[in-house]
Amino acid sequence: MSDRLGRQTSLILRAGTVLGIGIMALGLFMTAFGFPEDVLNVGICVLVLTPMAGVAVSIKCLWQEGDRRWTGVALVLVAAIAVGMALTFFGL
Amino acid sequence: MEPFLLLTLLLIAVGAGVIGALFGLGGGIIFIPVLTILYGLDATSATAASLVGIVATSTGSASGYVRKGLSNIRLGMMLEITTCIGAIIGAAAAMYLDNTVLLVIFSCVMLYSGFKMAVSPERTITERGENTSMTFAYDDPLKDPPKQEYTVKNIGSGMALCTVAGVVSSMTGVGGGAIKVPLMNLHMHVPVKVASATSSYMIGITAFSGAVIYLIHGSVIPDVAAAVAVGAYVGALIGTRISSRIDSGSLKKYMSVVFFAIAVIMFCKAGGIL
Repeated sequence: MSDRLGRQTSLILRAGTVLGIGIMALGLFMTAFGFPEDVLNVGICVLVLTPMAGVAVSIKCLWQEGDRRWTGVALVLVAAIAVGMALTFFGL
Repeated sequence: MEPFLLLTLLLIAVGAGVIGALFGLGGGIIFIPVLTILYGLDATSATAASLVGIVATSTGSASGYVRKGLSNIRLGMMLEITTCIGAIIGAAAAMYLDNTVLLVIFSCVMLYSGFKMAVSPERTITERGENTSMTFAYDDPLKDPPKQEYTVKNIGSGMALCTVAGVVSSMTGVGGGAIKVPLMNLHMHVPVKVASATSSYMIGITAFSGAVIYLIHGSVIPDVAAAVAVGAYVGALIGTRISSRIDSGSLKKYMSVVFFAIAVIMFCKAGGIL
């Protein structure tokens, strides 16, 4: 695996996770003192979106490296996820 | 939820995160029974919180594994395609089929996988001079030399079996990682450390699509999901550190014990006990 692909994917996964978990930890502390749960929802959204941010960065790296085969594989994955989510959302 | 209950939930999630990161599992098999039985949540809320926790375990461990080259991003994305297709088929089939039989079959598969993991040697190192488009390398500081090469075998049948993993996972609610790790290791000749690290990367992508749907439907209880996620993340960090200090042979033996435990839980679920 190329260093760049691993490094950049790792970086975005780490950044998204630390940010999401950090916001949630702050939110848990705040809700204990009666603040609304909005902060928690922001943290949950950031965390949940992180794996796909990782896939997006991987696609960008693979494309820039000229690795069309694996870029295609990654795009097919995104399409499969999108179809799956659409079918689930609309009740299959 | 009461702050004390949230704190205990967070601590349980730490344990689930350690196991999840070590063995490439999501942790749903721990989160869902804990949330439904101990905390009295309904199945939908428990599943929603569990999915958020799985994302935390996955991204928390995968960020470290990807940096070390243990998670094989290319292999993970490729196998995730057929897993997603399997999950769609499973979701449709679940409306028409009773999943009791499937749970029993799943338990038997776990017993077989656990046995094979315990007795099979690693058949994963690349033969001398072998270099295909599916030959990869990773660093294992516990081996000499640290740089280990491996060639992924049986790609077509591996992808097909991942479709089955997606179907089973979607119908039973658990099992994504528990099926993919032995599949990659025993069938596709991927080293056990790479298999569990790649599975950790994959389950985050799988959990993402489920978690987004639950978020849109408003089924996520924020404080419960946050406590699960924060605990799971801490556990994942601990599990990642432990993983780098365990040799492959020991990891396979511990993993077989975990698979036997999963088989017992699934038998209980099939029998209506859980």
